Amino acid sequence: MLRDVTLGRFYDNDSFLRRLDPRTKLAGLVIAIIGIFLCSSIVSCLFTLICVIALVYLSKVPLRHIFRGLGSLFILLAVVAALNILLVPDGLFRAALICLRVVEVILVSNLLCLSTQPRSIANGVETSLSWMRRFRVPVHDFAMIVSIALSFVPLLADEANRIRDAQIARGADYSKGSVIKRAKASVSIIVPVFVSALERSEDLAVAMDCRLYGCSSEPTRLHPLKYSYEDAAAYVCILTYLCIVILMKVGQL
Amino acid sequence: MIELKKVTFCYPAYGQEPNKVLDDVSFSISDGDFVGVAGDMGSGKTTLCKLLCGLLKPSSGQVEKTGTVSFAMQFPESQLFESTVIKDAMFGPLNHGLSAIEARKKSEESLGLMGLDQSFYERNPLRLSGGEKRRVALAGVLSMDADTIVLDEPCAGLDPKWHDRLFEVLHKLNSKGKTIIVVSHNIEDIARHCSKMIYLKTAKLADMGDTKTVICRNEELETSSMNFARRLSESGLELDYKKAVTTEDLASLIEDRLSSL
Repeated sequence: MLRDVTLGRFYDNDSFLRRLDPRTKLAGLVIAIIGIFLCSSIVSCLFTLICVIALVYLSKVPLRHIFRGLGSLFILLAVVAALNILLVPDGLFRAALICLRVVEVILVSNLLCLSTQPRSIANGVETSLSWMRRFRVPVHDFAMIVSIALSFVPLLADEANRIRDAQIARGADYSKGSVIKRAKASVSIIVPVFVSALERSEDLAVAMDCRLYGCSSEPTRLHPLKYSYEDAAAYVCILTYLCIVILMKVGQL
Repeated sequence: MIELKKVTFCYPAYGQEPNKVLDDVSFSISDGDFVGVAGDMGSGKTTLCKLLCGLLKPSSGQVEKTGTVSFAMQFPESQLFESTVIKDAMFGPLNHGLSAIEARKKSEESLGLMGLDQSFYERNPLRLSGGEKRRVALAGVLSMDADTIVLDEPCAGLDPKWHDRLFEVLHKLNSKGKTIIVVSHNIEDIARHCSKMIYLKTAKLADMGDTKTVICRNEELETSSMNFARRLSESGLELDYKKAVTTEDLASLIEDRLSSL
């Protein structure tokens, strides 16, 4: 299951979504999430779903990659839906609304991760928040933290898999027994992964210091971000979507 | 005995075609063999180890084996997690269902083999030095008392003393009937210690057989002693450099040559 972690895993292809500037994608994600939570009717939720499906098509990422590792989330959604249907008046409507919203949020967030390199996401965050430098907010450091965190997620997942294999080779069994027993058994994975993560972070900090990280308050960039016509088109689409959702909300559609 | 029949293994690659790491590999290893596995990076050595011990299932083909197999992965010290050395060494035997007394006995034996005496038993394994951690981790694998022991580059990062000592331990276990399979980038180590050799090249089994024969047949496996002998030969001292697989071979070859002058 750890092999299925999508966070920080980039799907390299040539698609419209892949080519967009990371700032456009980040702004799009924020607007999409606002739009999704403005949807209070099945019609507006279905409209959002159609827009998300269009995005999936534009990303050219196979569905199996987008839904990879989300099995347990669907179980949780099924439980939430069942509880709503059984315990809440008008439960079927609420269950459908919650499930649609959660699935849509996950789809758009996964699309951002799959279509953007972690370093580009960090660049996008840094450039978008550069105005905060005037208030002495360490935006560059924050972006670096985001970038490193995103790059380390798949590495740590791989490390966890490696350690899991090693413990299985020593006879550990993580698939049998009660939940508590399995949770206890997973200590033999969690402790080494934590130790390895701390060691890695220490090594990385030393390596960055050795390469003069933080010496310049205005470090230069290898690839400065640049908007294109495709970004302008994307902004128009995103804002049109938001306007339609707001109109649906106002018109109680 | 372990037998691989037309084994192919592919890792699913994210967003790309599946990555074929082993392609149509077939060989057999008899009980009591001491086998070395060599090959370039990415040739499929670690995947082969995982297939041998059952951590991976082949995409096609079969892996047949008799008896138990234990596996020491690359940099096994990263598997340490218990609060004391003895507890960590006992993790495997206890998982196999041995009683606490038996598990402790086996663990003490294997810790002893790795030169870790009683003074280490109650220490926290995470606070030991790199070399000591490695020895605790290897002791944890040996304490499982499996019929076949697979070790993936066990000497990487060990000091020369413990490098030689580890092979002594492996020979001792081999003499007791255990099958030993060692992955190494050091061809001279394989030549010195292993009776058989498996050579993997770009996911395929390039060669297998008697260690020195395999090394002589494949130019890429030239050891530093062979290289030295070849250079001597090129500068006038005629030597059959292919016979100088290890330093000992080279020494006796030069000795013979000089005495015949």
